[in-house]
Amino acid sequence: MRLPGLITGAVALLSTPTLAAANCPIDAPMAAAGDYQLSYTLTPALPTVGQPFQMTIEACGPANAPYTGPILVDADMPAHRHGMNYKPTVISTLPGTYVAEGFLLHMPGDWRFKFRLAGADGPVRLAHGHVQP
Amino acid sequence: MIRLLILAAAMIGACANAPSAIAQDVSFSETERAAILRFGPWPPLPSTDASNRVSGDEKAIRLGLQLFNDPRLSPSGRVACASCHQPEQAFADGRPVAIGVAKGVRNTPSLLDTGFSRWFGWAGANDTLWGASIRPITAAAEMASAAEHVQTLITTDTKLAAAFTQTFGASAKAMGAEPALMAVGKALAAYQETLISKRTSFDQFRDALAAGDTTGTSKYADSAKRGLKLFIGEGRCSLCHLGPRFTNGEFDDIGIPFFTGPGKVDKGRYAGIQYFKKSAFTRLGAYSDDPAGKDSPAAIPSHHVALQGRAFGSFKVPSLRGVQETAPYMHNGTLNTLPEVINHYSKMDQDRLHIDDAAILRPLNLTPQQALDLEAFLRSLSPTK
Repeated sequence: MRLPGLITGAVALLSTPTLAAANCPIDAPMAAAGDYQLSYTLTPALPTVGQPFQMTIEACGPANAPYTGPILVDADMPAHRHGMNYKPTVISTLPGTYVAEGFLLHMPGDWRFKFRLAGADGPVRLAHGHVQP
Repeated sequence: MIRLLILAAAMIGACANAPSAIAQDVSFSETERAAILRFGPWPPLPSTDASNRVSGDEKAIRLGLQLFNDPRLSPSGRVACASCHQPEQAFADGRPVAIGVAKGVRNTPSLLDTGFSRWFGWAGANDTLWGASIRPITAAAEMASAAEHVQTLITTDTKLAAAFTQTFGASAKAMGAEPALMAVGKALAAYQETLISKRTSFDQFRDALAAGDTTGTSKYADSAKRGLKLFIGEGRCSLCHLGPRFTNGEFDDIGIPFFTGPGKVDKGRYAGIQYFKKSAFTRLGAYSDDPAGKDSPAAIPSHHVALQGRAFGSFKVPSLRGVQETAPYMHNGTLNTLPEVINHYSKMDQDRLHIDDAAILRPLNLTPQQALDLEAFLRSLSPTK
């Protein structure tokens, strides 16, 4: 995984989702920890198992401001004790908005998207479940 | 992953067309029906490979067929692509491991439906079919050839030279040795993309199920239906063997030994990724014809594939279409028959698995009848002779 700003290209976006600065605070965050919260959408909205897809992330930090630090993303199947065979990359597009590319879930079942943000006091880890049909 | 069955060797061969040994109606829930429908339709709609500018081109397909059968691609004059990928053997060879210029360490995979793959070969060392076609040409144990040898052959054989120039718009001599080798790979790929397996009794059943045609579904043997139920149910085979090709196109360790001799190990996918990342003959390289270049959607997995420890000793999840025709099985050809494969999953030795995989795979402890049912289903994935 790489940090925002280090990644170029790739996200010249195939089926580019509409991007906007994060609207903080998020009304119904999909994951939250302390001062940090985030939500995401997938493109396509319902990925096909074994096919790559994108994730657009909206993240907020302290004082309900858009989070602008680095985000690392990953996915795993906790019950199977394995992750993906691919490492997504992330770029920051607008304040609090990120696009991650390179997700590919190779099995149906219960997955978990994992996010690591850089908090003021250390890493902030967030997660959200995803059922891949 | 197939993961089923117990041997019951004396009963082999009964299977799909045998009268049901269990007098019960085999019905499927809505969830099972949805899972079954995802195994089709077959065949998929035709498509071409943007990284290969002659993909789908009739001239390239004809040239590719010619080259596929030409042993002169090998400097020994003895080994053609078709030496191991034999059309009458479902484009495999029936041997445990391939024998080219020397004896190899991996089983020859069938080329049927290979054009639909994302990664090619047991280790996925290539992300294009043309790259995968070049690799055995130059591999020391396979054809042991070189770009210069291939260029000379294409240049000096007048018929090949003419077909090559008509296909690519330039002669192999003018092109240069390495580009000419790439072109040969692309013609070979164009031909291999046409190798699509025929419809099967399973496909007829699946389509009848989709159409609500109970007369059609009743023609599918009960034993195969029970095997299918196991496959998508408690056998959990469809975690990896999914979609119309019955594969997720990825890699796994299913407890097949990866030692190839004293002190020698086949690293499988781990070595495949290492090879891929060093190769210039990929979707990310200059020889790709995709107008979108490295930013092509088709190149996204190539960009993001990760070299991880769990790839060590993992091998490609093979398609199960035509599986009846492609014995022996597994990356090293150590399982001779479908019942042996099923027995492997039934009696799996979990100590041989990666710790990660141990959470997915477990011995299925199948009854003899379950083993026969699963075999009947697997055989129904091959065309009826």
